[in-house]
Amino acid sequence: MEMQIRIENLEKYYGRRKALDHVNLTISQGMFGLLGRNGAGKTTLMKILAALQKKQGGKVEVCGVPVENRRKIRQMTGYLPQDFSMYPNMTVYEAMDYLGVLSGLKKEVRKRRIPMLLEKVNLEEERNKKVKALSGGMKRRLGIAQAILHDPAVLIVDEPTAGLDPEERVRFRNLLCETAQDRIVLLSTHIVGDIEATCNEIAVMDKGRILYRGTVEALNQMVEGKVYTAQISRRELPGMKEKYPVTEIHSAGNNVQIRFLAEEFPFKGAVSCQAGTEDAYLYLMEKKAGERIVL
Amino acid sequence: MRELFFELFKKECVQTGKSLIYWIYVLCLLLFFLTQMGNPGFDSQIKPVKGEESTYGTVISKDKKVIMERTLGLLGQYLYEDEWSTYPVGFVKYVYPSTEEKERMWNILSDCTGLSREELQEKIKEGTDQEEGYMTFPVWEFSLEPSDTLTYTAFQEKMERVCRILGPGSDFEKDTYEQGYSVPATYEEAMEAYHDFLYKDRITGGYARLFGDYMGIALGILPVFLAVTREMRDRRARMEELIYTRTAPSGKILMSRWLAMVFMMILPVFLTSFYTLFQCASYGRNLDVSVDYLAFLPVVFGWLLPEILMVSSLGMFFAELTGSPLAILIQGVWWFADVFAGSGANLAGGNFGLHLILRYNTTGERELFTEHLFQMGVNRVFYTVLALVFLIFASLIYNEKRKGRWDFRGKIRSYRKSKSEV
Repeated sequence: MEMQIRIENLEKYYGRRKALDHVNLTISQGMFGLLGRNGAGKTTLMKILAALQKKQGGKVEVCGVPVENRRKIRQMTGYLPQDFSMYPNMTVYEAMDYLGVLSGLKKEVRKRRIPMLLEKVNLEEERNKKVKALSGGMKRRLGIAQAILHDPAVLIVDEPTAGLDPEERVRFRNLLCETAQDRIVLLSTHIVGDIEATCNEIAVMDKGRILYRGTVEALNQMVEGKVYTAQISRRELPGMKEKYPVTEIHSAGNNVQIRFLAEEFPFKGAVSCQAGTEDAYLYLMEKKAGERIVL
Repeated sequence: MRELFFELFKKECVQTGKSLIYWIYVLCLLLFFLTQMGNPGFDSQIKPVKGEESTYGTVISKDKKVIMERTLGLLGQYLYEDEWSTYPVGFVKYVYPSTEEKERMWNILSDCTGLSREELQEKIKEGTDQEEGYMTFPVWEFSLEPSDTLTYTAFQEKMERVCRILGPGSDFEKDTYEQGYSVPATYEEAMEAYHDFLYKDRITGGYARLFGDYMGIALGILPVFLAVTREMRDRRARMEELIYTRTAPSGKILMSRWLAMVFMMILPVFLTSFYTLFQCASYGRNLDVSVDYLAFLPVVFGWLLPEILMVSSLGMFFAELTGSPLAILIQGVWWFADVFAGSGANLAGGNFGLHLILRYNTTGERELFTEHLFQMGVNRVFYTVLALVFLIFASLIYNEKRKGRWDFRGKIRSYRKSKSEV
């Protein structure tokens, strides 16, 4: 089976609003991050890949199968939506078993896979707990378990770490990376840290378009030598924000310590520093989307 | 595949059994049963005593003279009260004849009875309004004597003219009035009816019909609550997308839900029937009559099951279509119209037509029921087929939702047809 998602000139409208504007993307095995702010079109793209929405133009193939072949697509994809839960009165095991039946898994397969997956997502002790009694992080982990229950070749995960505490977020990222060993994992998020920690290949989306496609390193290189820090007085801050994209502000007595982007050395006292993915992302949004990011 | 369907069915049954709404359904059903039917008591099944006419009851008479008298009486009453209803395709329809049409019907009545309009009005007034305390109530058994010269053929011809004015489904259609009218029974007739109850219906037959009558009222509305809440549970639990992305076909998902719901809903009906059955059996033992232990089965599965099928599939269809509890309102209106303006008007006369709720509020009149059995069969097959049609449409909508045609809030999503390629 060809382990690749191919998207060519994908278009999608909601009424007159263009949600996806001629999107071209190729995604190979491993973790792939889709970065963009809320409303960029990430969820729409994911829903099309999960056969939950119809495209209106272009061509999309998942592992060589056109998305119009919904049955096959459903067999080979696992989906973890942004906002999900399960029947609250079901136990963890019952919920998994129910979804397993809906995935067409036979009883003996379910009996074998469900305990294995619950162990993998560290929920084996919660198997008889009702879903409504799980914490947010546990629910997300259960979400991953249900998504890979039928052993799909592609896992689509939409904003999975939103609302999780730092510990759960790290645990969840690790879980995703483990899951990606033998499949394509498409992770959509607006949290740069998630992408930085898990993905090598990424795409940045805005207003339904792909602004960037490549590695995280290459993205970071785009802003190499363009990230500075400086200490300025509070009075100067509004002027700085007008002139440069400011990415961080820290109070330092009557002064503020700022981190900002500049094409050339900006002024005396500014110090060049190591670029991060967040800087690169903001630079990209500024440059390609033509918008000033004001923090 | 069959194994997976059965697995899904079992899981849906368990889910239904765990839901609060199901136990409210069971409670309502039991309360309705206990308050309406409860302990039969068998007081109405007294053996007729010769000379005591109050113990004879009534029988249906198909005597031509009785038919003419009562049909003309009915026409007189309609004209006097000027409220007209017909039952085309089984549902009530109020008709409003013009002054000229009413004049023609008065003339027909005068021709048939040989009385002037004034004489008729006087007679109807005397015959139908009786003072009882502060209440005035009509006497539905009111009759008008036909004139000596009126033959049955001429009567039929006159009634055809009335039918042409009122349209289809009136009480003046040949098929309707020839079903006969209820008249006081003679001792012999009363004994025959009593024997029919004991040895043809074997006690349980009559009570099974009464059970069908009462439970049918409750089942005309209660299943819709279960169906709607089941269909809306996925959204409430934010589980729609998890289910939509599974491989199970939409038809299979909805069919398993529907059948599980229906199974769980018919279960308490079936079990409740044993209560009445055992009471009948005990009564039969006292009279040394062997009761028919299977008499409730056709009532539960032939009479009541199609009603559950229909109400639940309608609930599922509208819940899928609108993503709202609108089905409860729709079913409520239907139920109200059928109970109070439809079949309710005909509690034990057969004439099931296309009523969803079939009434037969008597343990007797087996013959009349048997005469209408075919009509009842057609009615129940009709609703079973209609229920399947609703389910198929619900599945189609569900399938469209899985493709994103309907958004997850149940509104029809506007999309560019011209751009859509799939």
